Amino acid sequence: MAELDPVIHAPKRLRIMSILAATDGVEFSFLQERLDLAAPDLSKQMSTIEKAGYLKVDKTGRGPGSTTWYKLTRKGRAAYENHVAALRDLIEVNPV
Amino acid sequence: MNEEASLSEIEREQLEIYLGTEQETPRWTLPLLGLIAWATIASIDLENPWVTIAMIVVAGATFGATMALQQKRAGFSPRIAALPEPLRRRANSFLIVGTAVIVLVVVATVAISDSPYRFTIAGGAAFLVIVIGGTWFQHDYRERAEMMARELGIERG
Repeated sequence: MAELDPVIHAPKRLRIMSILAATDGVEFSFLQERLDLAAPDLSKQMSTIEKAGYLKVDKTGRGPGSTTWYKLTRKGRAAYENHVAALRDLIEVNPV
Repeated sequence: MNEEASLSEIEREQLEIYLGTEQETPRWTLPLLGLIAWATIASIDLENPWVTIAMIVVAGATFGATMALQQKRAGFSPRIAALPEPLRRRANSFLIVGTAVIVLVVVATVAISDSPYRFTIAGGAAFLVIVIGGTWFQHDYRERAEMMARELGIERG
């Protein structure tokens, strides 16, 4: 049985991971707009995910025109898929 | 957090990426790609392989730069495997059928033409296929995405 991942299980990070899993990379402001989060909060969440080795960060440019792109690593994608499988297992074990 | 609610929320989140955003492609994209295809195919008439190789490199770079620009404007890089059905099936079919049609049109034009500029003519035919076929696909894709968004109650921004 798959296990829930504590890094991904937090609601904000689960939403972030679901967006990352559905794309081949996203820009910081796109995530911020979609999730309606303050920049420091989003940075903190991204940092937690990055520390787990689930993210590849690509920064381009400097100053106001700079952009930061995030992409799931292979480890991150596997962790996300495993987490979703764990959620499905829990639903099957405890149907509403 | 309720597991079922979590799953529904992430599924909707993923759908909203593709159905909730209007991804406008600049009008010059298809003519530019068609022009590059025409120039690459037409270069064969010059009977200098280095010119054709250079054109293939230019075509690849232009295609890559166009995609990169598109992604920069959208703020994300789409993942075809994650596109909601039937959009994924349509995108895959378009890529496969579109490539096959271009190859067929070019081969047929070269085969039936006895003009010394037959590759230039074939390139022109490829240009038309890219512009007309691409416009049709964009229109069809947008309509389908709008319909799905309406059915699922997703607001398009």
